[in-house]
Amino acid sequence: MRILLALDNQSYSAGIIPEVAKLAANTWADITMLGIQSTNASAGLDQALAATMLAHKSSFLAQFTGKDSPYASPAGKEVFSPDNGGWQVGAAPDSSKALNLKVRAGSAIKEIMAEADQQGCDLIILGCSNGADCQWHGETLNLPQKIAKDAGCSVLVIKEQRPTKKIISCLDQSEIQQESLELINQIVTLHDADLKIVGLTGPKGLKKKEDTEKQMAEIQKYYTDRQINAWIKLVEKEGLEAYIAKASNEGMIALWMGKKSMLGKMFSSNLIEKLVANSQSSVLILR
Amino acid sequence: MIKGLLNIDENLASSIALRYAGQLTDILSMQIQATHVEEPDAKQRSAGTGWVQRTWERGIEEAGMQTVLRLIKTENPNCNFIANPKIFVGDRDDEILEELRKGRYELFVEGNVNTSNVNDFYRLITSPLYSKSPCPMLVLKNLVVPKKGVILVGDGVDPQKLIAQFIKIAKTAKVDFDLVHYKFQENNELVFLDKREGGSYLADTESLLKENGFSVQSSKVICGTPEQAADSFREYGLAITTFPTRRSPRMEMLAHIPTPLILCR
Repeated sequence: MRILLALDNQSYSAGIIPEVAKLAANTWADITMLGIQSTNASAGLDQALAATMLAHKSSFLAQFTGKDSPYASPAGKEVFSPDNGGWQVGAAPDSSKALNLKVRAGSAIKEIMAEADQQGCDLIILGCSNGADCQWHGETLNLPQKIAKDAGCSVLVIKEQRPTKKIISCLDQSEIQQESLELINQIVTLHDADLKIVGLTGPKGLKKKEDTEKQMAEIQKYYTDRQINAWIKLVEKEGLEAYIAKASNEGMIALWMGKKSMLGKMFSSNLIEKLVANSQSSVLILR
Repeated sequence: MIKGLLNIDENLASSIALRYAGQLTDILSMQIQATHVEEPDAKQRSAGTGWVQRTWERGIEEAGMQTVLRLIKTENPNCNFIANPKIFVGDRDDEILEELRKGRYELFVEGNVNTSNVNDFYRLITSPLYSKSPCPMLVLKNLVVPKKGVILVGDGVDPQKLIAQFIKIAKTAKVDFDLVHYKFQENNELVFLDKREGGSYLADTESLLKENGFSVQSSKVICGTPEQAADSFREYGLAITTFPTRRSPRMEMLAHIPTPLILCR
């Protein structure tokens, strides 16, 4: 698994490090921590941002103190070196898994997307400001929402300081990837949260009810075998938006939004943005 | 040991029911008879009579038996089955009702996946099968480990009737029960009230339980919307209450409750 962790110098970014470290510890993912400087690359590396990124890395590694870690700590002082128009600090040579630091210059949305594409990331994780708006300080309006909407891979937007007690996972009508099932498994385990699997029913454009149920049965078995109690609920297509809006106040919403996804067709871009902005809890868009 | 009838169809709800039944037979000291009703549609109905009709029915029954055995084999529940599944051909509700009466079952068990539409639950409990059932009905909505149960009281619940049925079902239960009185109120979140707020419902139910040698682990009064209350019962593996007699917040709460639910009359 390859995770891109988009960070800035605000408390919401620092706040997500412990959760990401737990996820990384369970998945042994390759991690890239990416910071974006608004000043042009020709002006040189933003030293304040570089220092923040190094602090984020230390904070990440500190979560593994006294535990088995796939990420080796650096032997000495680390410095950024130029890399492809940006700067980076590579992983320690004896690290089992990659933990890279990168700083790129330019538009944050564009650079985050480009980095995720170049690396073939499975998941982008980012935090956002507390409250109803979910923003990145000093950046393009609705950055987290735009990343969630437009990224080619899965996106997890972690809301500040909100414990996840329930994960409401909306089952798409397309094929469910093993990786996304496992990602939800990890998040449920990390938070010791309840898992609710929501299946869609309705007359048009959906699989037959029997097929949906069969898929739900398989997913339920998958989680039961892993000692995860998955609650089942069927929601009519017409009532899904209202249901999601309500459920987003109860726990983390996980939506499957693949290319052939029925949820992708039903949920307009605006609705994803609204969901990310208004949800009281974190939001996971699975692709 | 109580005698239960478990209805099995080839769907997710039955898959859940079969797996839960394995745990249920253990905690409620229960024997289970599996059943399945084949409901042929008009096109499938044989136009013949006599042996032609009987041969056609035997064929349908055989297909039904194969369906049920396949599901049992797949789920492999650790169930205390009385005998081979009983397969019937005809109207589902009529056939099950007849079997419940003839077999003097003490509990009917079937899976029914929770939906967001309250009307689905209303249709279920007002169906001929549920409205005429001679015994309590256990609706299995989710697969949970029944570590603890809850007795639900509130508006419209007759404590006498509820406890009489509860004693029959749970006399040898291996799980503890809590007692909860639900009150409807539009709150931002679920509120726990003083026990005195439960009034006679809670006090009478507690007395009846005591008279019958039962004690509950805790009794409480909860107050909130039907969804909030229903959600709070996720910690329980079994809930027992009486049939709601009308559309009400209690009925809505029972529609949303994700826990396996025994409805008594």
